[in-house]
Amino acid sequence: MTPLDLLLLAALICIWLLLLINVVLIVGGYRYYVQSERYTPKPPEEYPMVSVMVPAHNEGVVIVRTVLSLLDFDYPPERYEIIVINDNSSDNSAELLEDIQRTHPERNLTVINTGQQNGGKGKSNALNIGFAQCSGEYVVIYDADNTPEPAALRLLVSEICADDSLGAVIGKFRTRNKEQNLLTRFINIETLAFQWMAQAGRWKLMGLCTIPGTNFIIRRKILEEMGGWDIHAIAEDTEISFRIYRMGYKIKFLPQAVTWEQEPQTLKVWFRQRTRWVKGNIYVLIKNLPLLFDPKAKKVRFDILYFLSIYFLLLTSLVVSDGVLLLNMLGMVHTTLAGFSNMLWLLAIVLFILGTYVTITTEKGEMSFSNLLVIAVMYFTYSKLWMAVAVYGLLQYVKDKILRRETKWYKTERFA
Amino acid sequence: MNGLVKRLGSAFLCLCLGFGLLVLPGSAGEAQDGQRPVSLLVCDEQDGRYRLEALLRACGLPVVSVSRDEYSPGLLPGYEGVITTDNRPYRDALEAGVPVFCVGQRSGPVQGASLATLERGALTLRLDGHSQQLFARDPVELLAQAPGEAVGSLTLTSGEQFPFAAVMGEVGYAPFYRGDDLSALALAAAVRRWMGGQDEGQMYVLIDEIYPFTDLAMLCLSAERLHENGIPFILRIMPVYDNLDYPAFLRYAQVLRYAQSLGGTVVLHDPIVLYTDNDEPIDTRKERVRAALEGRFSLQRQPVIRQTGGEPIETKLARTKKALEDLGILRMDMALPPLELTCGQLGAIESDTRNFGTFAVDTMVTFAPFESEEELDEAIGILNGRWLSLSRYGGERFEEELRYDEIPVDEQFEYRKKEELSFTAFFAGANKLLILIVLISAGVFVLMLTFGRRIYRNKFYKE
Repeated sequence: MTPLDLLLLAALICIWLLLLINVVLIVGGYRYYVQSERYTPKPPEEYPMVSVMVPAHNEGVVIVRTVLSLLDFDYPPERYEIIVINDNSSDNSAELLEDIQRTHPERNLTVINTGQQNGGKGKSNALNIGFAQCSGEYVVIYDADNTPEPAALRLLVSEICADDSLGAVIGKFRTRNKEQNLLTRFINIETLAFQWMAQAGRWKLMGLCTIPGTNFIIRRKILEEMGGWDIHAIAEDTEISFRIYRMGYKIKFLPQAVTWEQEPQTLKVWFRQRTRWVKGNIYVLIKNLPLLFDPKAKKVRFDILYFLSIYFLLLTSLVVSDGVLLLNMLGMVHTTLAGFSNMLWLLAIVLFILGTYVTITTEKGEMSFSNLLVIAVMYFTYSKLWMAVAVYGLLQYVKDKILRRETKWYKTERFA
Repeated sequence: MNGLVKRLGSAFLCLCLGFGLLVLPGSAGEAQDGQRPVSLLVCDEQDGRYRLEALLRACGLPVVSVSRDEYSPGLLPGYEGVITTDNRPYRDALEAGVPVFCVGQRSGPVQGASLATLERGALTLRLDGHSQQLFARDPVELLAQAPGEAVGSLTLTSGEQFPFAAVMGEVGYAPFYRGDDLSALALAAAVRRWMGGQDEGQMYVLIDEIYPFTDLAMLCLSAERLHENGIPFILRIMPVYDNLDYPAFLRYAQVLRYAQSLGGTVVLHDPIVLYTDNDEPIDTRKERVRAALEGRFSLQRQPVIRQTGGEPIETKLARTKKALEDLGILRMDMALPPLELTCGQLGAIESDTRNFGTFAVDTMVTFAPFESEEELDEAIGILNGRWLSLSRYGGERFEEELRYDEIPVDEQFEYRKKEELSFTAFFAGANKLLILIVLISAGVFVLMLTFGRRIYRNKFYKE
């Protein structure tokens, strides 16, 4: 029994534990899907005032479409305001937004143009600027590339008004450009699987959800109480989720409120975006790690453990097991660990494909044989790429900390 | 050898001897051999050093060998006697009063002996009722006259006769020695005479270099046929050090036991050490493989016990011996092997009588393991045709008839030992449990998909 054997054993236990947790979450998520088919939130007796905020940095390619879709909500126009924070853009965003304002003078559309002095410091900073000027009882956030469905706002408001224990309600996001190429098809499957497994599953089984950064509604008083967004967080969505949990509120997943967003179409853009997510989530995890040992944190500890497992344990386990396998094949290391049968590993892959397929059959057009094949390909390609991203993000985070570099908020490149 | 022992007295000489044993190749094992007196052989490799060493061992004379370059007069006091193919050690030995035997053309002149030269031609070597026709292609010197006792004779076609060798007190001289014919046996007889021995040697039959992978069926047949013909035989087996509990080795031991019960004597071959052309021993397996690939090794050297890298050879040999003993094989030690004669060499020697008789030293008629029945029958024909007086090697140990009992060998034995794995029980249990969980989960997913297909159709494709 060598230290290498012990390391490999720990890695295998982690991998299987997470695989089984995910199976449970998929079943929970699917049950929530079936339940939610029969559920429609009741509209409030009186629609409250809502502020819809859109942070935008050089979003000229997509911003018009986004703002027009926000203007198209079936929510009473006088009961919501739209605040676009045009954050230190160097493109034609300002002109485009001004043009929309001119053509919709009757609508409550505010454009805040920030300069180099107060802007350009990331999404959290932009949201804080917008929040300072908003007047709504509730705040709704959309990314600049989103095209929410007309009912989205009404559904989000209806749900949060109906339950005082909800600190926030999140909607579902879909991939607008999924047919663009194989990468966008992978991302489409990934986002659906994440929402129906991790979000719906956790909500159904644990009453937990994580704000996805777009298409969510939050109470104003919560934002005021927490002092706005943490400007050091580059994954402000995860960060704010943990803060909401700590205040004793719940975050609910409402799949009926849908928005469509544009996903990266090239590997380079995808890699940079996901690296930001990894770095941001590591920041949030480390910041909230003490909660793991705090009995008051209750169910939140599951979330911390879950994220910790995904970003640290699973990553380390996969790197260790794959690395040992590779080095063993090259004859560079030798392990005497007994190991599982090939049959079990094969079944595990089948389980991954089936589980992922179950999560995507919740959406129109996704229950197809070609998607089954895409998932199989995903296992051997996209999943491995994620490992590379996670390792790279982790290294970048450590590097930033060692060199005391300020974390930059990378803006995802949009496609026309 | 009278008076030689007195020279071993002083501590200084012991020190010299000790030094000699340390620096000279192959000396350590031999010097301790049965507490026999040790002599010095001065002979170069190209003069047939190893063949001469074997001959002297067969005479019961263990030697330490040095080449002419390595030789110095200071070495002489440490030895019982000197056998030399060069004249200088002879002169030094005379001066030092050490018994000396001169072998070959370059070892003379010897005091009191005169030589005659045969330019070219046939000659007959006779020795104690045996003879062999020889032919000299190059000029050779023959012992024309010498005081003392003559051993053997050489007769030219002209009828002129010369002694083969002469023993003149503590000096022996055999100028005509060729190594691979009757002259070797004549020299052995002369050396025995020089040593003061007069015994008759024994004659044996040897099947040499037997490995576990030798054709065992043929080996059984060989033992049976030799037994049927009343021919005792020696099986000289090569040492193997590993996998001594494998069925292949157990089957091999079974065959050895069977051969033993049919008059076979098992002896263990010395470990063979390979040498490069530069006279360096090839110790490691890697070096051996490389040398074999490059074709630069020779097996013609006298095997020398020495460490072959890693585990000491003595430990390995002890393991082999124990395994053989445990498997009921009565192994004989062959510290001083008899002189080897091939079937061809034996065929070239004539006997004056129908009964071939024996020589002054122990001899072995040597065969490689027989590869076919025809080959075996031919060898038995030769042995029977010569009316040889064959003995069983180590016969005194086999007073009682050895019985052969077959011991079953496990055919299901796994040759490649399975590596010991950690957490075997844990993984075996977890494997079963996880397969069950995964199958149940997959079943649940399939059910969900079946159920979900209905929901999917109703939701998205309802008319």
